[in-house]
Amino acid sequence: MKNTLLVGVGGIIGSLLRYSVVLVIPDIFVLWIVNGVGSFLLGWLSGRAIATGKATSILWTTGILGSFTTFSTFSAEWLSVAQADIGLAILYALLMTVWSFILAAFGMKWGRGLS
Amino acid sequence: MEFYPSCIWHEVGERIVITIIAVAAGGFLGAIVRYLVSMRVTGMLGILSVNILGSFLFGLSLRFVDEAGTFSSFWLIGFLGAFTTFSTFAVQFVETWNDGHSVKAISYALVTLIGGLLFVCMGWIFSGFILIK
Repeated sequence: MKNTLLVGVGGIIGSLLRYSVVLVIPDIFVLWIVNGVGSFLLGWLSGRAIATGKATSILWTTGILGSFTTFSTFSAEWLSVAQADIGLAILYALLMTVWSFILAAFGMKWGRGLS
Repeated sequence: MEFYPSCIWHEVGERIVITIIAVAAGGFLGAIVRYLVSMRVTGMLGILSVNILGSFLFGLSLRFVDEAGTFSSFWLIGFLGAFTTFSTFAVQFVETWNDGHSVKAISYALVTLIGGLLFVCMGWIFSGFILIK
């Protein structure tokens, strides 16, 4: 029950942070920033948890960062690109994925170094 | 006439507050539902299911939801935005890759991508059929 509430509160914070990025940054950059930064930070937290042997609070992992980043909006944006140009849409999907993976890997490497 | 600007600000302020509450309520519920699913279906399969189901629902909703409206703030930005996740997907990939299971990691990435993108299309097409009937 306590964990469920922590995740819920994290969901509020993460979603509102994501919405703030929507308000401040031009539409085409939003998902690159949100998913990139969120993947980097979650990678960093996971790496730090491995290095220190102490688990990170679920408020941060499943709650805030899980909710800050999003897959469904990415799918929908992909759909609108695909309706115009399917080749560009495939490139977009691959780049977004590789971008987030690389940042998550960097974050984890960096977090592991902090033992 | 002199109250006109303050009336506009009052209206704008009210809309912003309502939008913030809608996003927060959706985010609260979306994150909790994702958490509950991931407790039942652990690991990559849980997040895969969440991302594919969330993409389907997003595609299904697009024709029905006014994207500038309050319900869209609750459902699309709040609930489905928080329900689905990219960071956990990315970190699971990196962890699996670092453990030496590169084929498993790449398969996970491809199944998520192809599944999510296929299901957002299916949701979109399916909502078209609902509208025709």
